[in-house]
Amino acid sequence: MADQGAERQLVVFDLAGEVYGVNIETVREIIRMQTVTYVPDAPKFVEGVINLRGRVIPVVDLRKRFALDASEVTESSRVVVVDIAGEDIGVIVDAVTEVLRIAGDSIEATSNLVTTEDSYYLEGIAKVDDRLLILLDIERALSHEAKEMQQIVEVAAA
Amino acid sequence: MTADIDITADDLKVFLQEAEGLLDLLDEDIIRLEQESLNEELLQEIFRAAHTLKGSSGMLGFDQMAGLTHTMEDLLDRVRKGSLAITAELVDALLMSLDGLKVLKNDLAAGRETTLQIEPIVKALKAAAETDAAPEGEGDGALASLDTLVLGDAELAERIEQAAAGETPLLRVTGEIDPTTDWAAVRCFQMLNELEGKGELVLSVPSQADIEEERAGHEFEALILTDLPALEINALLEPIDDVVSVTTVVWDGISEEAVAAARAAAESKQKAPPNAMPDGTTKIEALSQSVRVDVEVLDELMNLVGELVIDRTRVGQISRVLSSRHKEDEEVRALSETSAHIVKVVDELHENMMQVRMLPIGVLLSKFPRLVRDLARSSGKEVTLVVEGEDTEIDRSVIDQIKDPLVHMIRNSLDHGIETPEERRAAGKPETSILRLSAKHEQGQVRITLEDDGRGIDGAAVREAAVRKGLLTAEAAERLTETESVDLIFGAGLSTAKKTTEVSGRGVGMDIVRRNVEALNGRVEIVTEVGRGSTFSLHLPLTLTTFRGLLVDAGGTLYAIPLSYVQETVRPGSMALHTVTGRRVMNLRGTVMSLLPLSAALKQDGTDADNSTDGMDFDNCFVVVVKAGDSENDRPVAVAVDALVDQQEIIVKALSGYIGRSRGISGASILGDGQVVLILDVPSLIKSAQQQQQGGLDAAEAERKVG
Repeated sequence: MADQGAERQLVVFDLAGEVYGVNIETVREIIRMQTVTYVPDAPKFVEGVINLRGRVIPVVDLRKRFALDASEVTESSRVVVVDIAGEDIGVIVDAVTEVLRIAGDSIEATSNLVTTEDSYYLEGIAKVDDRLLILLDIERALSHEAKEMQQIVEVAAA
Repeated sequence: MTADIDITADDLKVFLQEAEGLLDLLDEDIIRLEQESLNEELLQEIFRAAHTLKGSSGMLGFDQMAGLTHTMEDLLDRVRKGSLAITAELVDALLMSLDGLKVLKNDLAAGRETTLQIEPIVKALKAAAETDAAPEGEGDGALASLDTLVLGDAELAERIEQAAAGETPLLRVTGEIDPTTDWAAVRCFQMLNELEGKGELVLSVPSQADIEEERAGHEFEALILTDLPALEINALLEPIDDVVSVTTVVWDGISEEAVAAARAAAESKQKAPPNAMPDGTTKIEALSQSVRVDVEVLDELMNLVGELVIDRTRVGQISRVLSSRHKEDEEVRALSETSAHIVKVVDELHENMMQVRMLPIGVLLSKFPRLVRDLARSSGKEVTLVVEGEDTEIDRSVIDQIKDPLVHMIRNSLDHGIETPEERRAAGKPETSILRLSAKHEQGQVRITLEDDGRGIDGAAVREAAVRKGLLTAEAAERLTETESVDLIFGAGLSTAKKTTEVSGRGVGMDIVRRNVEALNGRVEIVTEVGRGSTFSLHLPLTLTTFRGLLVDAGGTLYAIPLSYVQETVRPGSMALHTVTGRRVMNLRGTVMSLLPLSAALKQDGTDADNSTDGMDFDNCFVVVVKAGDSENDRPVAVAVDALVDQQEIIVKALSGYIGRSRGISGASILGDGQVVLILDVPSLIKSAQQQQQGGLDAAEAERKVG
């Protein structure tokens, strides 16, 4: 999956004790946590909408997306605004830690490592200074197919 | 279509804009031409438009467009000179060419090679000209008929009236000339010559002057005051070569029918001034006073102004806080003065911006004569479309959104409402039906009505159809009032047309109309009478970008309710609230209505706790009485909220498509403090409340008893 060789620039963030990275090209900006307005009938993992300089954009709680334990909003909580097919979507994360350059060959495709339904969102695992960093395919993680997928999972579970 | 010469993108853009304007103009004018064949200014305008288009397309090397407009121009020139009559066939051919030009223009705009062949269109144009014009100008086309001449000239008409009333009989002489002869003008001259001196010649068609200019057809008509018997006149003219027949009758004026026709033509001519523009100067001035602006630029500007309006409120608030905190500070005082000024300027800017976005609805309505004409011709019905209130201004965004609903409504009228000429005659109605499309401002809204004089909607027939299609049980249908039955046509999957036609009647249509109109915060109403016709009214907001809204607090979250739906707000106290068969209702001055606790209706806390209704403090709640419309079907619903917060101008922001459509929510807005509030979709909220409550037949029965 990963493009071997080419150098990558990642925005690195924390979520429930894990370290994730997303391609910097998809990230438009990183803002502090805002008051979120709840929207009835929205998909479960959509936390609501926020005001991004005069525009109303949806925000997604990645913890809910990945069925992780909910947590309180803290001082370090951030909204990473990503561009998905021309639409801005905010993603709530525990903290944004750094912007990192990594070599393409330090990424290992996840298909060799894990085979859970979540691996659909994962682009690979990178090893950086003895840390493991999960490369997230954010477009897939937020895509409509993914939404449907989760709904199917929910129905199956019910 | 590709051009061989170099054209810059700007050249093309300018050309496309010009072409679009001219094509729109032609579209309207050619339709009008059919009704007003005597309107010379109209004809000139059409000719000029075709000519301009030919010139500029030729200059840029768009040969097909130039070729097509060239043929059109040729024909129009002949019409203008009177050697070609305006017939339905000719108008058809002109419209067809216009459609061809539109295809060519769109292909150009999209930058693709066109697949359109202009040759068949050119051929059709020429054929249309052949069939009517006959070789070298047939009588009627070449000259106005005697009747129209008389009608067009009040003085002449009066003279004839007097003459007809006088002692000397007024004779009307009609001479037919062999249509194959090349000597028509000469024969007319000979006939005119014979009549000279036989009495007082009132009028002749062609006149002496016409004949001298060789403007003569194959028919000669004259009015003469003479004591000579009619037969003698015939005997004078019949010997002339090529004269096929001569008829002479005593004439007692123009028939009433002809008078009515002429009056109608004159009226429509009077109504036309904006386009006819008799004195060219005003038109030129008007042009130089306006600019064309890209719609996207306008939308972007509106967005920016919207953000300013939001910030304005915030700036005002901060400045008030600062000045109360630092009363003595010079700088703070200066700051609050400046901010007060900014608030004022932003308000004016907003107002002007809204004004800029307003367009006369005529830009949309002017598209419909063509639609009606095409539909009428293809269905064999006779329909006159009367358009009124074209100047009514409405926001661009609304105009964009109501085009499809209006097309649906017009098709619906043509297909279901208006009868065939035979049916109309049998029903004792004039064969030509009048379809009236009008727009006007009404209480801060725009009302568009479409009124036909067709067969009307039979509530019983609609009920039957609904039951047959399984949309309704027979028992439920029986309980419906006439109005409720008629309203069923807005339900999905219903069509009362006996057969499916090209026009409409595939069971889709009116439900889409209602849905689209409600999506605009508007509503649709029908008034109908069997045998007399139907009137559909659309009530629409002037703009979609802002509205007056009521801010309410429900469970700690603010929502905006468009004031147009709000009937009143009350603080009922527990006395007025009751529970009937498990449902909460409110009794407001004797009217019992469903009570909908807002936060529960929207399941606000996001959990699945359906019992959150019970968290509502009904003793201290406020109630907003909302109603979707004015018709008797629209029952008011009481929405219970925790507090009424404010009334203010709400700037509408779209909810992201990512979230999908939320039941009960139509959009979002941003308040002065940056807070996002959701806008309630009142009709859908009412609908879902009613559906929930009519879950069981028992509940519905109960409602009947109380309500």
